[in-house]
Amino acid sequence: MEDKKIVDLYWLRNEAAIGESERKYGRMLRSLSFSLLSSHEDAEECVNDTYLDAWNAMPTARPDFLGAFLSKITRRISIDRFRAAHREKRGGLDTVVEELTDCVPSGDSVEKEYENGRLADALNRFLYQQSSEKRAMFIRRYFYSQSIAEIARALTTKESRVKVTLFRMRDALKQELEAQELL
Amino acid sequence: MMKRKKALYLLREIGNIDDRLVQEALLYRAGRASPRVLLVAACIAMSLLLVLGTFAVSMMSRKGEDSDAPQGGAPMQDHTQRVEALDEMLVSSRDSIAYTTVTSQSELEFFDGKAYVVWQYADSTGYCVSRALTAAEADALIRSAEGGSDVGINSPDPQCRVWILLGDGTVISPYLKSSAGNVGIGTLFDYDPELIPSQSFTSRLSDILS
Repeated sequence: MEDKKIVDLYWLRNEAAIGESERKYGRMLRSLSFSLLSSHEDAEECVNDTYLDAWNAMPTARPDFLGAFLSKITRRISIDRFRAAHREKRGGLDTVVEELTDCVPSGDSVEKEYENGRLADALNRFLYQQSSEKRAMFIRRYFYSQSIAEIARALTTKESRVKVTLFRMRDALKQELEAQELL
Repeated sequence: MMKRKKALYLLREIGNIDDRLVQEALLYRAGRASPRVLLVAACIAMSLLLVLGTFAVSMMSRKGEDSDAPQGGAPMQDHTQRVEALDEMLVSSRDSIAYTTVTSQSELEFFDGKAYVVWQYADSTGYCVSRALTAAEADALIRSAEGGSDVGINSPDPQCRVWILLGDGTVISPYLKSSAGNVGIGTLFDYDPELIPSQSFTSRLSDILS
């Protein structure tokens, strides 16, 4: 079923919307959550919570890209779960978080910038300045948590090139965030 | 500790980037191969054709010799009654089944809403692609893929790697158990087989490719 029709089902408060979402995007969402949490059970719960969030968000939201919309919810829920459980165990996110520490200078509080949305705006600006290929590498790595090898295969390039590109992008992002006094 | 906390905020905030960017990252395909790469690919293809041609000629001449032999030899094995493994089917019918070939993943359609079966022979770096499956064919194939049996300790490595592209970016393999960790997004992934695909899967795929 087309995304638009599924979104219409959400707006009509028709529960078939969840079944159709599961049929079309369930596997992808589970895979995304699993790549962050390394737990099948947690991934399953996150995906179920995703449908609940989507049900509550539509209406009023009317996403143009339902896959991206649901992916964002799954990712947010998975990261929240990771943070909550982090004292007890370490999940698949650790490597990605370690890499992202390269982007942030040490310093003061971050909550304020995070809450007022300036950080998201800066990230969008930064990404739109990059080439499509660089953006794809960055988002596959830090949004979808794909491994370097997976990215290299998908983009038909060498792993070393992906690593170097991501390293340079992290450095450039750090400079950008510092220049704007974010983070 | 503060840097780690910030990195977590940053990670979470990456989840708020534009939907368009999120979608584009999965749809993005690398640019077309350079003329030099195409030249190398053409040379490899010509070499393969030469090898296959030589092989075919030698097989034809051998067949001619066999038909001249007396009829009292060992009975012919009835291959139609034999239960074929998936990779055996793909290898044995390599020259007779219908498929197209691509040289890299970037030429595959992961997000066109159509399902395809893609496989790679062990002796090739390219990929073979089935025609687009109908929704009914895709459903039946995926259901039969779930009926595979566990790989035995002494099972030989398959001669092909096989994936099913579902059209929404997700990729699964009949050689893997159904689980969230065994799903790719917009990419073909390496794997170690966990299952021997069921005979019904092999039969269905054989029908699709015939």
